[in-house]
Amino acid sequence: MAGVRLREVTKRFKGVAAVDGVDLEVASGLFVALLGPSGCGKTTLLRLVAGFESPDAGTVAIDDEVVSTATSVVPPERRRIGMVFQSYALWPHMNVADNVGYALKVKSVPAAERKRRVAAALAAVGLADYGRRRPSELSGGQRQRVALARCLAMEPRVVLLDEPLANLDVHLRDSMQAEFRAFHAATGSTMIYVTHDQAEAMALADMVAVMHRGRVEQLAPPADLYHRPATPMVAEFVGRGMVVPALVEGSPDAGRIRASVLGAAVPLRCNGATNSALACLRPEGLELADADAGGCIPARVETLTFTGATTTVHLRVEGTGEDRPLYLHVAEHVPPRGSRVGVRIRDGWLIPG
Amino acid sequence: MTLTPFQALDRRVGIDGEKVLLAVVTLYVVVFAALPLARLLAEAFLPEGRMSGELVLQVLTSRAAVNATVNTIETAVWSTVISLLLGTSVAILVGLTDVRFKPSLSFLLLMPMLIPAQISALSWLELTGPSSPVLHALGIAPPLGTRNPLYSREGVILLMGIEHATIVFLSVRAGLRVLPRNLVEAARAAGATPGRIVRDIVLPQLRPAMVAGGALAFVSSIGNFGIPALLGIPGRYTLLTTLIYQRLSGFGPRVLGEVGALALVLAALAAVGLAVQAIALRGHRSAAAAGPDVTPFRLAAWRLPVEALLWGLLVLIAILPLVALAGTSLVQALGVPLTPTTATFEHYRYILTEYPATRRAFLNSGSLAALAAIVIALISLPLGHVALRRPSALTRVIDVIADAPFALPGIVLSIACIMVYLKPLPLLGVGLYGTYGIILFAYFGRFLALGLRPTVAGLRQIDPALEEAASIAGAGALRRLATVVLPLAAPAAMAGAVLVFMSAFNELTVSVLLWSSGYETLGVIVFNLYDEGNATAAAAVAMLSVLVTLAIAAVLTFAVRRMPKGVLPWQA
Repeated sequence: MAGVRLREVTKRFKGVAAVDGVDLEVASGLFVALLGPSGCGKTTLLRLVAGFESPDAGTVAIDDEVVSTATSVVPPERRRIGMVFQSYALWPHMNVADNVGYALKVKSVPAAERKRRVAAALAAVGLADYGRRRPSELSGGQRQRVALARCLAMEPRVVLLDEPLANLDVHLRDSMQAEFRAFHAATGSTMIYVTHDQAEAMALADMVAVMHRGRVEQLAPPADLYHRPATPMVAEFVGRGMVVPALVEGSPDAGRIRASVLGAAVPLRCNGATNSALACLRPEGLELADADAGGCIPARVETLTFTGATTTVHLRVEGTGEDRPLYLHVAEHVPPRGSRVGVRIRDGWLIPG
Repeated sequence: MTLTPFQALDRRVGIDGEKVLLAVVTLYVVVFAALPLARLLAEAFLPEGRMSGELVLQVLTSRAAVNATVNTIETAVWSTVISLLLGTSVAILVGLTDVRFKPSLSFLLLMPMLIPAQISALSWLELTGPSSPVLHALGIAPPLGTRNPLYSREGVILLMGIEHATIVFLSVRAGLRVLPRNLVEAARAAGATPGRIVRDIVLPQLRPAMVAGGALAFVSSIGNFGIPALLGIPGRYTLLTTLIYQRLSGFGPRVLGEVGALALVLAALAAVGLAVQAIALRGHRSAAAAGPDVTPFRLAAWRLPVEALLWGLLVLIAILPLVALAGTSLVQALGVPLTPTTATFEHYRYILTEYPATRRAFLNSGSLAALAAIVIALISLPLGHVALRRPSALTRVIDVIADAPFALPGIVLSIACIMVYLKPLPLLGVGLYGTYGIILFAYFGRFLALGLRPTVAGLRQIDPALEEAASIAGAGALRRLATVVLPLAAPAAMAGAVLVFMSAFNELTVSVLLWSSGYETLGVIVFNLYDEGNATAAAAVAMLSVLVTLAIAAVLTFAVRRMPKGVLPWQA
């Protein structure tokens, strides 16, 4: 089993840093998602690990073996890694079995063993009878399964996945997600999974690295990202958190700290850092109250969005000169548009960064 | 464990099969393209060169050179005007209106691509001359002994204009393909009539395509040899290409310095056109796949007249000359009327059995063209691949140099090759001048770009991830090229090879200066037979080579359905 370690890795394209001094350690056997908006550098980071790009600075190591430095790069074909591409990248001139067995052929694995391993890999993704088909005869989901089987057959140290579900229909994604989880459970291999879809990242990965402007903003388990975002960007990107100014009034005690948020005194969860001035609020941590109830933030209902089980209420905070809208979900007693209400903060998080 | 050949190769060359590829393609381009052109420049600008400053000045200020230069520019400008009018109007009528049989109309205008200039010129002479079988059949032939009106400045300009209309047509058609449909639809919604839309919306949008196509037509006119040779020499209207030919064939290699200076003028004129084209295309090159075509304008009552006009025009310029050529090849003697009873295959029998040079020429041209096609296809794959996937300053330079021998007039390359190969090669002690080898080497340079373009078009359509996936699977550079890139790009490379074959098989411009007895090409034979006054035999040879070319084009057109779009220049 192999881990992946990046140290101070920088990659520039035409002078612009796509990856900017990234330190990242992926422990052996872990499933890590690289999550971020388009252009954040996540795909470049993946291609640096694969060896398709060479870093301008820093090192990449797989299994404690340094494979990339600014001056020398072990080519991808010598890295013993697997990769699943967004476009599947099945060779159209080979049938399914030849696609899956190509790496074994390159390694001169004897024909009998090759056949056995190809059959096993195809069986593992539920395509045992498809060996003689051409990739063009398969559906998108089947193609991605073949790509997965190809990966499986070469028994890689690390598996890299580059937005593997982006080309699939929504209803296929769920079953492919299950496929990836099964793959990870069966092989125990280290997996790095690039996606811009946070639901996908949260559902699949043990750890999620949120990237922004070429940097890793936070590497944490999914629940931590949501409840304890390290930076305002993470707070806003993951789950559309509301980032508001917070005035700390006291010192942390048992993971809590008193603060004034939008004029209301609130105990915020915190990790001990006290020099911060921003808090992350979630809609489920807010509740509506009467307009003049004590300890509440006065606000006006701006718009209402009906979403089925609940209605999302968008509010504008009054009197603070603060222009940030708040929102929350209510199931019943929806206030009319334009009405004045009070907002009570039941839970919030003091963003440390 | 035994190594497969690929593993052995990958291991022997270390990690960098790619460096090996780069070295091979660089060597090829240096030897067959860079070396001759560099030699030509060196002869002019280095003090020990054949073209010392004094000689160049003397040559270039001579009456003959000044006249030829003026004539060349004049011909190129006026023929470009004709090409622009013809190519643009047909492209717009076919592209934007509801005329029927569009593929056939396009194919007719593209015929000149398949028929070399000297054969077009010969066909037109047979069409318009006093012994024209077509005019005789219509009873409007001028009396025997009348001078053919095409033996003139106007004749040269007209034929070149028609010949190069194809280039403008292709460029404008490509421009129309990427014309956003909603621009036209917005103008229609605004109430503009079709004529107004063409004038106000379409033509301004097409300007880069027209300028680029016109510039290429200009460059082709500058370098054209077949038309001024057959029409201009008898008409005493000398262009730079024919002046070079006459000097060199009259006085031999001792005037190499002099013709080298003329070739530089030719190259400089062509370079101006190429620069204009490059500027016109700047920023338009990557115009991506177009959306749906513009809904054609309905010509309504005008459709039939417009169709009649188009067909009349295209039959006149593409079919009738060939009919005249076929007629001439079948008449008993020039001037004898052609009827089913008088038609004879005598001239075919003569050229195939009694005139040994013809058979030799078929063998020479066939083998030269086949060798050039195979070698160029083989080098195009790694060359295109390296340039596309591992772009660097070096590959960009290679790309430009690889294009130069095809973009510049063929005669410039010929003279450059003579300069390189006149003396025995330094290490081998063998001279190539006056052999089959010099023609072959010139073809290797000349037609590289022709084979490279379809190959690159094919390579471009291969998802880079396919190769990356092979890399992930452990395949080294050479194995990736052989097992992934080659199978996927082979159809396109094959199409390129056939284009090279078709062009080289009928080519005259390069070999006219390089041939020697025993190493004649088909183009040279047609030209020489006509020059000797044996028009009927020339027509018979021309007919045979046209038939070969058309047959190959037909096979390719049907075979191409399996190939990526855009590999055949005459196809949609």
